Amino acid sequence: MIHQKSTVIPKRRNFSLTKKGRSDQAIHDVDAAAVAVRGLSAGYAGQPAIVNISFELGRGERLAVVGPNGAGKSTLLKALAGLLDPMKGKVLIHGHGPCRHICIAYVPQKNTLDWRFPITLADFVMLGRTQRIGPLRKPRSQDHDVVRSSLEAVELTAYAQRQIEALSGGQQQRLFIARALAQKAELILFDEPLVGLDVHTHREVLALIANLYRRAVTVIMSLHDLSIAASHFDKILLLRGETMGFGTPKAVLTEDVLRRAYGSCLQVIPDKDGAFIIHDTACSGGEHEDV
Amino acid sequence: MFEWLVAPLRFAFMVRGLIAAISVGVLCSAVGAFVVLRGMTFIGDALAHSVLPGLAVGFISIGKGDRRGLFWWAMGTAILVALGMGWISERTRFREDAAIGIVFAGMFALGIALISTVRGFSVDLVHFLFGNVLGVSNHDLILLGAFGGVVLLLLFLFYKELVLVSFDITLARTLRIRASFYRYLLFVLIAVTVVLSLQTVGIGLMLAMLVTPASTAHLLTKRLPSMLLVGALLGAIAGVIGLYLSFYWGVASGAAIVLVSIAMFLVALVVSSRRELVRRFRRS
Repeated sequence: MIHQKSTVIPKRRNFSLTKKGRSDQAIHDVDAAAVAVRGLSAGYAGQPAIVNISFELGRGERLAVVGPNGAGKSTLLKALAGLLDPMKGKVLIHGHGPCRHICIAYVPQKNTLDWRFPITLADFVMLGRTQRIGPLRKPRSQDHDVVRSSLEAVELTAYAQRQIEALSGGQQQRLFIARALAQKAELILFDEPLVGLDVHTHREVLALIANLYRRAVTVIMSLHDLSIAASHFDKILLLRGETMGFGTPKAVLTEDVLRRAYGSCLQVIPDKDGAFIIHDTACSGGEHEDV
Repeated sequence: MFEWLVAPLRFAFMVRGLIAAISVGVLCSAVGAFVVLRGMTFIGDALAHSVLPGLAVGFISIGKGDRRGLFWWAMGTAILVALGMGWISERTRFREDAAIGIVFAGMFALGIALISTVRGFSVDLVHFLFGNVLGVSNHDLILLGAFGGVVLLLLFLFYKELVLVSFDITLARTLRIRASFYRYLLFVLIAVTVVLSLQTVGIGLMLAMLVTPASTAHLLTKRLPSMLLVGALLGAIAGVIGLYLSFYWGVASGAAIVLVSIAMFLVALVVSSRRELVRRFRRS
C-alpha cells in the first residue's frame, strides 16, 4: 500500500530584488493583482483631489487615465508610486504597499527635470540601477550590460555618450523608458508623456509602450487624447475627482459617461457608425487645480 | 625661470599659502559642482554670515582664552544652520533658495544683536570672516587637511546617491533611497567646506572658489565626473598662479586668485561659445 503524503505547496514568490541581504524590499505575491486600489482618497494640504477610487489591474495590462484638467490624474499616479500618502483607502502593488517596492518607475512630466545637467544618456539610465548597485558600490559590468541593452531596446545606443540636453522630446520619453527597463520596473507610471510631441513621435512612443506588454510590464499612463486611450490601452479609468468610469474602452467611452465627465467641453456628434466626439483639451472641466 | 618659480617658496608663509590655496581650490570646486548644478550659489554667502551667532557665543564663552576655539563654534553653527535650511525647504513649499535666505537673514541679525552687546569683538570677527591666505598657520592647514579629506572621501563614497538626489529626487524616492539623508549630507558637506575655507582664505575667496571653477568646468565638460576633476584642477591652478602674481606684483593675494579664476571662466566662455557656433554651423 502506498501512502500518499499530503504536501503543502507554498505559493510561488517572486522577489523584486535578487540581491542577497536586501530584505527591506517587498516580495511580490504572484496571486495578487499587479495593481489594486481600494477606496483611495488622496490630495494636498488636507484637501482631497481624488475621492474613493477603486480598480484592479492584472500583470502586463495597460491602463489609460483620462479626464479633464484638474481631475486628479497626476495625484493618482503619485499615490500609486508611493510619492503621496493616501488620506483614505489602500494602494497595493503585487499585494504590498508601494513604498516597499523598487519595481515602480514613475515618469514625471518632462519639464520637471533640468535637462542641462551634465550627464550622458548612459549615466541617466544607470541612475535607475542605483538601488540595485547598493550604497558604497560602483556599477559592475552586469549593470553596464543592462544599461546597454536598455538603450538598445529604445534605439538610443548611438547616442549613449551624448549629453541629455541634445535630445528631442520623443527621445527624452524613450530615455525614460530605457531607465525604467534598467530599473527592472514591473509597473511604469507615465504622467502625460505625449504632451508637446508631434503625431509621428506619438506613434514611436506608443509602439515602445506596446512592446512593454511582451515583458509583462504593467503600464498606467495619464493622457488627454481619448482616441489614443481607446486604441492603445486595455482599460480606461475616467476621472473627475472620483471614478466616472472604469473598464474596457468600449464600456467607458460612451456618450453618457463622457458627458458626465467633461460636461460642456465635449461635443458628441452622432454618426452612422456610432458617434464622433470632439474634445476640447484646453477646457477645464474639473473644480480642482491640475496637480 | 626656475629661480622665478623657486624664489617665493623660500618663504614659509608662501609655502603654507600655496598649500592652503590649492587645498581650498580643490575642495571648494568639488563641492561647488553640486552647489552650481542645484542652483544654490547663494548658500556660500548665507552660511558664511550665518555663523555669526556661533562666533559671538564662542567669543563670550572663551573670553580671553585660545581664539582658535572659535573655529569649532563656527563649524557647529554652520552644520546646524545647514540642517535647518534643509529642513525648512523639505517641510514647507519653499524652494531651497528661499529657505537659505530666511535662515541667513535670521541668523545674521541674531549675530549682530549678540555682537552689539560685547565690546572688542570686531577685531576677531574680521580676522575670522576675512582670513588671509598668506597668514595661514600650520594648525589651519591641519584642520583643512583633516576635514577637507573627510569631505572629499564622503563625496567619493556617496557620489552616485548625491548625483541622484541633486538631479532627480523623485527617482530617488521611487527607488526608496533615503533621499532626505543624502540631501542633508550634501548640505552638511557644503557647510563644512564653507567654514574651512572661510577661516583659511576669507569670505571673498571662498565664495569665488565655490562657484567660479565649477562653473568654468561646466562650460568645458559634458559629464559630472569630468566637471568635478576639471573644476578641482582649475581651482588649484588659479590658487597657484594667483599667489605668484600676488608675490611678484604686490597685488592682494585673495583678489589675485579670484581674478585668475574669473579670467579662466571668461576664456572658457569664449571657447565654449565658439564650439557651440561651429556645432550649429555643421548641423545647418
